[in-house]
Amino acid sequence: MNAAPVLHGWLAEFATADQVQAAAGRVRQAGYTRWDVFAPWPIRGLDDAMGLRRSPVGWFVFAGGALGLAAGMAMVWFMNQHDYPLAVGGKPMFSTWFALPIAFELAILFGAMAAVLAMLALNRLPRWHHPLLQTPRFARATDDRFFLVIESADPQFAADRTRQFLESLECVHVEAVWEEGPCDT
Amino acid sequence: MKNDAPARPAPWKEPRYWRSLDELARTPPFQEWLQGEFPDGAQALEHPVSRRRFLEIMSASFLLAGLGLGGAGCRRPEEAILPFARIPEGYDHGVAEYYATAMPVRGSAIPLLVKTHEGRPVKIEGNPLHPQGRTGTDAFAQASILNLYDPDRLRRFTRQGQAVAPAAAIDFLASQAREWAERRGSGLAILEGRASSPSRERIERLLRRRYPEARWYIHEPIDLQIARASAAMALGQPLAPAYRMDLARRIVSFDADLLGTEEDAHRWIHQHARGRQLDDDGRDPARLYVLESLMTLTGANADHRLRLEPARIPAAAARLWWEVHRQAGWAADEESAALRALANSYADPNSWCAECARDLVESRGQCLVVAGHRQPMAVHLAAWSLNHRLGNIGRTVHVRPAPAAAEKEGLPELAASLRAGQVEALVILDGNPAYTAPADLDWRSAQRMARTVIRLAASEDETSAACDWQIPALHFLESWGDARTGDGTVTSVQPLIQPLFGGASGKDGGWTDLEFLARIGGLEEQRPREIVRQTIRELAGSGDAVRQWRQYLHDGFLAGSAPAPASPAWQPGAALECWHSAAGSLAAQAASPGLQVVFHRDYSVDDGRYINNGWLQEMPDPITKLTWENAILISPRTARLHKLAHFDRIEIALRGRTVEGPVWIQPGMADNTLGLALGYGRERTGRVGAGSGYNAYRLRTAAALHADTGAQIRLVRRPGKKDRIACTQDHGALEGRPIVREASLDQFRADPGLASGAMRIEAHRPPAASLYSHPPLTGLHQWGMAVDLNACVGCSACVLACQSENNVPIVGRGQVARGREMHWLRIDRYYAGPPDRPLDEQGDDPQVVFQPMMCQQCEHAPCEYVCPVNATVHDEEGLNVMAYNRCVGTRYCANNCPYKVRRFNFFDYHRRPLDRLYRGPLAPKAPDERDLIQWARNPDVTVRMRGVMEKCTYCVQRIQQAKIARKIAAGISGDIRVPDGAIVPACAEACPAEAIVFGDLSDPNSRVSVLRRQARCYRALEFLDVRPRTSYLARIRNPNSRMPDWHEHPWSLEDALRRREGGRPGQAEPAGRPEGGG
Amino acid sequence: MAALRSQPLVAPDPPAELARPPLILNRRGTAWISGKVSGIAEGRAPRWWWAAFLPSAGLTALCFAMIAYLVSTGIGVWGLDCTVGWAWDITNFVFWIGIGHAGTLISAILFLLRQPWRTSISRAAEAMTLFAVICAAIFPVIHLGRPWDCWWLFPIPNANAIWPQFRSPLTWDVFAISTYFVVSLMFWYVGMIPDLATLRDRARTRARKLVYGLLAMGWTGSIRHWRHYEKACLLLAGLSTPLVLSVHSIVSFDFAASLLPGWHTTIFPPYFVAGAIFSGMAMVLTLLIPIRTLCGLEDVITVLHIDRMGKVLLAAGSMVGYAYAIEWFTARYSGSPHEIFAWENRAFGPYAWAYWTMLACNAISPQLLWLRRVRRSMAAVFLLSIAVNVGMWLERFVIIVTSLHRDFLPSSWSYFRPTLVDIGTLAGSLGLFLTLFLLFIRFLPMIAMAEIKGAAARSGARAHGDPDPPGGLSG
Repeated sequence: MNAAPVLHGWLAEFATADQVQAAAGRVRQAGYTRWDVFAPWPIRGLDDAMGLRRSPVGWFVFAGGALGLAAGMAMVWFMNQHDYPLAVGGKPMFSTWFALPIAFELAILFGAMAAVLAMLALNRLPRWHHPLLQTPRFARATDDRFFLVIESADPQFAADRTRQFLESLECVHVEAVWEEGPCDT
Repeated sequence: MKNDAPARPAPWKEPRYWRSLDELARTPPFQEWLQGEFPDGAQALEHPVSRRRFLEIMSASFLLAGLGLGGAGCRRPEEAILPFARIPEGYDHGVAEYYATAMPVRGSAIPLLVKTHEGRPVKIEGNPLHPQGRTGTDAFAQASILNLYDPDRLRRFTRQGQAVAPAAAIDFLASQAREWAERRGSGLAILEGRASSPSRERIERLLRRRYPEARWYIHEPIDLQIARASAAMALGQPLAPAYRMDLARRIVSFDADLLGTEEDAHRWIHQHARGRQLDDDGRDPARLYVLESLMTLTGANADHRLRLEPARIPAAAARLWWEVHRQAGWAADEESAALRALANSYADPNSWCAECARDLVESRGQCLVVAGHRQPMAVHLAAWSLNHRLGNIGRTVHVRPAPAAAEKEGLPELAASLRAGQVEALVILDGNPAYTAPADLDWRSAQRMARTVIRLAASEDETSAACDWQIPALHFLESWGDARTGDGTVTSVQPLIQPLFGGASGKDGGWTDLEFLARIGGLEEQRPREIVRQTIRELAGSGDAVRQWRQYLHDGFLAGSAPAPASPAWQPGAALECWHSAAGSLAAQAASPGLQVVFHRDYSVDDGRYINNGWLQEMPDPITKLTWENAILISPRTARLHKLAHFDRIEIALRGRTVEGPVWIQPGMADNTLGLALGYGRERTGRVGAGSGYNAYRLRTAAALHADTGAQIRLVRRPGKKDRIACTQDHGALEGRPIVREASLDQFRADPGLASGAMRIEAHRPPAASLYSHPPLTGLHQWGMAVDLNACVGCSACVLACQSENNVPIVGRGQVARGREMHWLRIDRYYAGPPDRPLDEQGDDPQVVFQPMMCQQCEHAPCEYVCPVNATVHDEEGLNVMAYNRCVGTRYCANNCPYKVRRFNFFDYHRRPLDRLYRGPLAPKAPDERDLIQWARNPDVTVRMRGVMEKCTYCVQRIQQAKIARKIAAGISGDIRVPDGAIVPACAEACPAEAIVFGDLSDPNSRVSVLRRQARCYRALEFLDVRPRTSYLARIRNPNSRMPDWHEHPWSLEDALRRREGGRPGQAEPAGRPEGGG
Repeated sequence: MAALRSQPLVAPDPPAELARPPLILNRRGTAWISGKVSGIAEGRAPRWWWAAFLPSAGLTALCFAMIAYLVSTGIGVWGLDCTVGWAWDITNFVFWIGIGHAGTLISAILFLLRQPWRTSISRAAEAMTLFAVICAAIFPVIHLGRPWDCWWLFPIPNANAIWPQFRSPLTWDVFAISTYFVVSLMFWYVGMIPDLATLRDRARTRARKLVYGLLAMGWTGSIRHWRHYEKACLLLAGLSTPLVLSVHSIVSFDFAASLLPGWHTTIFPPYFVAGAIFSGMAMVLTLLIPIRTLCGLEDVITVLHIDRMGKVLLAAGSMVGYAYAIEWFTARYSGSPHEIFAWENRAFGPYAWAYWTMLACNAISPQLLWLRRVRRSMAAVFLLSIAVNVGMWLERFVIIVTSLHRDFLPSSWSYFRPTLVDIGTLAGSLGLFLTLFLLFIRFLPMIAMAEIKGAAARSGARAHGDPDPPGGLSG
């Protein structure tokens, strides 16, 4: 509160998904790079419209799964064959067959954990603070409204021009977002 | 809390058995001994009593340690251990010692070798040195150790129910003895039970000399003496018969339960097993014919069995006599005339008797006829007559001179004299007449007619109420004494521990019968040890007395003291007289209307004396598999007739008296007959025996002690939830499953593989090839067991031996009713009815088979691979071992065990009183109970806590001990292979039939390997490919093809052979205990 | 190129007769959905909630009391014996685990199959999964003779220096159930993050703001986030599908890997999975049919949903019925007298009452769902779902107890009777389940708002050719 408010960017509010999708195309054509769209549900095709690449979460999951499978097999081998072999029911000390259920479960477990952790890490979540979350109108981003933000950090950003650009889109409302403190109180 | 010093018991207060070191140290003898020249006890060790004293100190220290157990945490109590400062020479801590002694039973005794740990007797075994041979023990002997540690034993000298100092009793008896001596014993009546002790005989002779006018009475509620009495009558002199069931080829039993409830049953079981052996020389096994009313163990093991109402057995016996007479072509004489009427009263409808007689006649001199204790003298004499005429005496039945029994009257006469006011002082030496006396004597009121009643009592019971003085009787493991075994050998009874409740000196714990009698007689020598020593000196005759004495104590018997068999001449006079007088009434009885009643000795509690013994109470009756109570046995047909079902509560009315109990439908019972086991329904007894069963003594009259007629029954109510009977086996049919294998001798000779061969599902045994590799079992030894079903008669001594050896808990009636008995070794009893007859009739004359079932130590154990925590695994010697402290109790292993031999601790049986298990930690066990029972435990075996699975381990502790001993003995030679026979598991040790053989399978010459090569060897459920290490030897029946009930195959085999797959469950279920009802 | 991309491809509208029925009735808009669903978690608890919660909480207390008694006193307080080593304990375990399969099934498998109608019910089903797994996980622990040593089943070094034994299906169970719980929890929670953000943004009080703020982890709805998020959800669904199949297969190994006739059967894995789906779907119906009325969610959880779940129920029930028939067939065809006996003992032995009730509830009663009228009658489906719940509990009971109580040696046959503690523990676990579920609907978004909005937006636009996407309707 003590520091002077710094402009985070311009926030444009849209009523429909199609409008924000069209606007996103315009923003991208305009050459902005530090901008984002916020929506209460994932809008199909919008990430393509924004020019985003495929999510790499899958690679993490593959790595986690492979690690789990190997860890499961290794654990069973180590514990039942190597470290403390005991004759049990006349069965072999180690066999991939009886190790398989455990290795399989661990593969799933590690894979699933990798998926969640990778998703959170790639999204930089959890995050306890975001300037947008202090913008009252933005609360509808998780309800029924769509928002487009062009950040001040964008090289093309220019306070007034960008605002006018946004107002030229089919938006309902445009306002400033400040880094520190609420902007319009 | 945990490290607090254990609370010290207040000295000389209840419970008295706490003999702490402290307490001991204050006694003058101990002080004296401490001050002695050689206080390390080297000399004292010469003296057995002192040696035991040393162990006493030891156990006292253990007791102090044990005191900490009570309040400490729930799992691992802290224990304060006192160091063993002075170690007696020759004493190895933790190594058990064995002493020879004997358990006196009625007119006989069982020679024992008792294992002691730190001065506590913990396990009873048979004395293999005894001239009787390795006859094992019976269930009572196995369980007797628990009686020693019974917290409900009489612990105090009492006068009018008030505790007095022992000195008061001593003074009182001393003054009485003087008074009686002055009056030459007039007004003194002494009531005792049967005993075989030579010392007691000697003391009695002394007493009779001192008190010539005293009167002696004898009362034994179930008197087995009639075998001797009849021998004396038939042969004209005091004789004791000894059968040679091992030599007899044909045996006929007139209601004689030789393999169960007759005297010395363990001996006859041993001989029976010998006689049933299938020798390589082609000798056929013996053939057993049984006429009986109940289904007894002997009947269950019979090749031919004729079930008859009790009143018809004498007639059938006479008929058999007559048929033998006729077929042997003997001339008519007085004897045949005397038996003619009786014989004619039994029609022999299917010529059972005629064919049996023919078999006897064809095996003259090699057969044996025995009558049971329930039969009247006339039947016994008929049996003697047959033995005599068939030339069996001296061959299959030996008689040896017995000490002439002194003249003693029975209980009715005593009751009469009491009522006549002739008895001033009544001395009761054994027994509990207020409970066991015939109901028509009204004994309780009679006993009150005596001015003084002085009693040597083992526990507070019904008789105690009318006793003026009660002296605690010592257990035989605390006593000096002697006894004659069935063969007449004088056998030692020596104490293994000082009287448990006797304080530091042991003086106040009670008296033995010898000391009691000596004090009654005011004799000079009152120390039982000296009395026995004197007797032995007299019996042994010349020689080094000290050496003889030592040898006697070491061996447990006096060598050469058995009298040689006699060959007296047949004296027909007495028999004729008996037959003439009895024939009429017996014939009349046979025709009497109404239901007949048999009062029988119980396999678990005997005549009631073992009612407070938890092991025996929980031992399933070998036939009914009932525990903790008796039922009213009734045949299936009679039950149908009276519309009775299992557990129905009925009331029996007999001669104006009534008793109520639950119905048990017993296959193979005679129709129209009720079987009432004696010994239950005690009014006053200990905590274990209270509230079990009904009291059949209340129907028993002096005139009809064993069987009666004219009973009426009335349904009281259908069973409710609480009336569920604690039975350990719900289902008695084999369902055509080839689990127990049997064959008839003829088929076996023709096709030795028939019994053990693949049949039904077993034919689908998987090929030996396996999909995966099996880790090899690399041990030097490979343990295995063989159980000979041909030898096993189902006596259950092994069950109790296992319980004793392995600290198996008892769980109580309610838990058994819930199916939670803990026996590691159980004996499965199956009935097989004729499969071609309708279901209704299958239970009428079933064949019975027994199968001891314990952990089979499968090589591919299905229990092991399902355990998630490696609590049950295999060792390299092929044992399926159990790590109790690793077990978490998933019970998966038990579910996956095809033999269902794993036992789960559903509650903390060791820590909680059995009647309050459901209160959990809110109900700690009474301290005296907990600690005393703890003494009976085998320290070599872990006591399991709740939530843990347990099972048979082939007595792995014995295996390990033998291996260690062998390693020590081998020393540098490195020959650590344990020789065959060095390891005997508890069950095999106790088995009188030697049906269980344990040994090393990797040694081709071991007994077990030899047995496994026999043609009749098979493994149960082999098709599962679990590869059990225990194998069974099929039972071979030896039926007579001319008999009416002959069948080509045993019915279980017949059922397995002819059964089409499937068939509704519950079919062919002669056992008929209703399950379900959900 | 970029221009092309910015114009999403729109498939031509299908003819009216092929049009999918709307997911949400009465043309409810997104704001209505947010308001309605969040409102349940925001307003005062209605009276019916308390009426349901208090008895459930009481039963939960009973559950813990029973467990305390059991652990302090011993397994003997149940009705088990040495022959029947498992009865209600493992029956309850398998029953709850089975129920715990519906959530993942609905979320994951229907997600992969692109069935948009699942969105209305998936959240509640997932929550139900978690609570059922919690209830299920209690039983393997408390059924142990020494539950305090249950950690010995995990590969943790302990005082005995012995590791778990990995040939045991119980060890597999440990891994399967733990994995299932963790993955289901992650799936459920990750799926809930956008909705938690909705609740956060709607929160009025500081406490709610704080709690939902923390739970929402700073979710903003950024499309960049959605991209990773959707991928993660897809992969979680992909992983959950084999997981859900494996978990119940492994649970069935507890029986199939033994040698007991009636347990030792290769058909068990698919049979158990079908049974699990069946019972889980039934439990979802049991819970949602009253709740849709009580919470006024008829427009979200429509008759169409119930109808479709009825179809799943019918399919699963028929599969289960087929499994029963195959059990009989394999027993007969095996030629093994033990197998034949085990089956006949089920059908005609002392537990025949359980077998035939099970058959009536599971295989016969769902056949009514062939009728459209039945599928669309809330009362009928509700009653059927109750019948299936009962039947599926009995199925596990029949499998476990009838196989155990009469196995190889007739000498050890027995008859299991439950005690009051058995009954109390089952009732208590039901109470625990309901309590957790009631707390869930009271405090968390019980319907996946973001998903349903998205699905409605897509399918709504297509189904009606609606020029005005749902987002605009609220305006």
